[in-house]
Amino acid sequence: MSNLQIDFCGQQLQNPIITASGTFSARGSGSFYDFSRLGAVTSKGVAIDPWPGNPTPRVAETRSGMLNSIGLENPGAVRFIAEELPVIKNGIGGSGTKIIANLAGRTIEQYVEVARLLDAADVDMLELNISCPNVKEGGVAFGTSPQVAAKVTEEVRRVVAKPLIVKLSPNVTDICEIAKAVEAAGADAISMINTLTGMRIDVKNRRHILANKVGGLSGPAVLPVAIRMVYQVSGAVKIPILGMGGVMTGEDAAEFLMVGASAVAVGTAALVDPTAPVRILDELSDFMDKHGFADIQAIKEVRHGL
Amino acid sequence: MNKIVTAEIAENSEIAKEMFRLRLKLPGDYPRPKPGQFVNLYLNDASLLLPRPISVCDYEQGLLTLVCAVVGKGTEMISGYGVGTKIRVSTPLGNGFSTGGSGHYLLVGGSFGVVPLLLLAKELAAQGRTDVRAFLGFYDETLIVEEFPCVVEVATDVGSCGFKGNVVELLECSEIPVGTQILACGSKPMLCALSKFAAERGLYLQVSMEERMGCGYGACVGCVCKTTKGNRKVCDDGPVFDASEVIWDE
Repeated sequence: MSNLQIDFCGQQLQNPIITASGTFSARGSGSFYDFSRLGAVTSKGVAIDPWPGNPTPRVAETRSGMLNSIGLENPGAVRFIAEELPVIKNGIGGSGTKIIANLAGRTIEQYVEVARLLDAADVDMLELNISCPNVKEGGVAFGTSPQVAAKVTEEVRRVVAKPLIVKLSPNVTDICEIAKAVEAAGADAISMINTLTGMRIDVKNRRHILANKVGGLSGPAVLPVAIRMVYQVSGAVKIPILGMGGVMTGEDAAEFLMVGASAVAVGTAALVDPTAPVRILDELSDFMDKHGFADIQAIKEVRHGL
Repeated sequence: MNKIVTAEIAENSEIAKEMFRLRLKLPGDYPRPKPGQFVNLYLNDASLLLPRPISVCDYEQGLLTLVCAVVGKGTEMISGYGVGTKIRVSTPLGNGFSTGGSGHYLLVGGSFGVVPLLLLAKELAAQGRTDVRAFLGFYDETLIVEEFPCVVEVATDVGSCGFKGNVVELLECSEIPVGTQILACGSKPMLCALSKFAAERGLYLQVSMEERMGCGYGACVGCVCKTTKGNRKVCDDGPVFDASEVIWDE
């Protein structure tokens, strides 16, 4: 039996499988599987005030992928802490599963304010979302310029004590440049990739499928893009990477670890199969047993030969 | 605990134009659906990722009946699955209609919105309720009307069967006793018109809303309905809502 434990940003995780932001709800996901088996769970993006999100329809299917334009709908930090967090804590019990709060904002001040609130709340790590393609202000506007990405990272870093993960957008010319900028600004880790911007047209009705016109593409279609980018960034920065993008199986998770990720998040797969995070965990464990990997570090060492 | 189970198709037949009935043989421990709940059907094609949320039409021990419209590639694919095909299906999801109160029951359905009302009518009949009527509206061709175990009034837009006009127009020229509870499913414009009708007469109305869904279990927050209590998830907080809370402004 392989050892799946990892150290991520100085925290001990029982395994490297984590839910990706926006694809986990303690009540909904918890009605299908025991999420206390996971290394960590990530909340939906939480802002300082409630956000209504974009008009519907805001999900669309595409071959081997899906588009979403949710627009970071969330109840605001106060209600998240009062209502959602206790349900997550209850599901986790004494298992040691970590909680990552994903932070959304429209301005640097809002990011700082929500970061301060969540840093004081009962969560283990913070993930700064500077890469959502579906909001007009904030989101990806902060994640496409190295200077602005560094600035927001630095400002948030100043007010938080907990490990700070910065989530990067793939919709940039050179993701390594952004990664290096947030590392220099004090990020403890990088998570990548957020969705790729896309669009679909309903040809019979001659209109956009998404009310927002543009949405973020996720699912197995984006995996090769994510693998390429994690490979590049892991060669450019020293901080750990939480890899994600189209992970559907344990072998996909192993692939991310082999190109330099330290942990792996499962997102769209959980919409396709609600129990995907724990299934992928079991598959990764089987893969390691079958291929003689004693621990996660052994898989990560494959990176040196690639 | 919810789960995804493998069911076997026992029947798959076209029952109206671009409408098909699917009967699924289920494992013995499958929970009994509440009227108004839906199930997620997962396609046997790995490139079509998202489940198709389909209303439960009827249920008897181990046999789930769904009636669905062919609206896109996924439902078209399902409509072609043969008897004996294995298909993955979730346990029942969503909240369903509540049927506790007193007063007459009026079930109002438009087009394939009539589908979830059948299990509801059967459940009310099983409770011994005789004060149940169903008002069912269609464009031209009717659907499962003869299966309802209660008094049924039919409206068709073209006048091919029953009242000529839509189902809300039929209600407007019918006698509805004070205290009647209305339970409805149909298109958003129909439910919006019905909501005005109910509000004007002080009738309690529950509506089953439709929205394009992602996960179907409350994780992705793709399908929302605007309400006076803020956005609610159609899949998880609904699909049935108290109509007086729904904001119809779209």
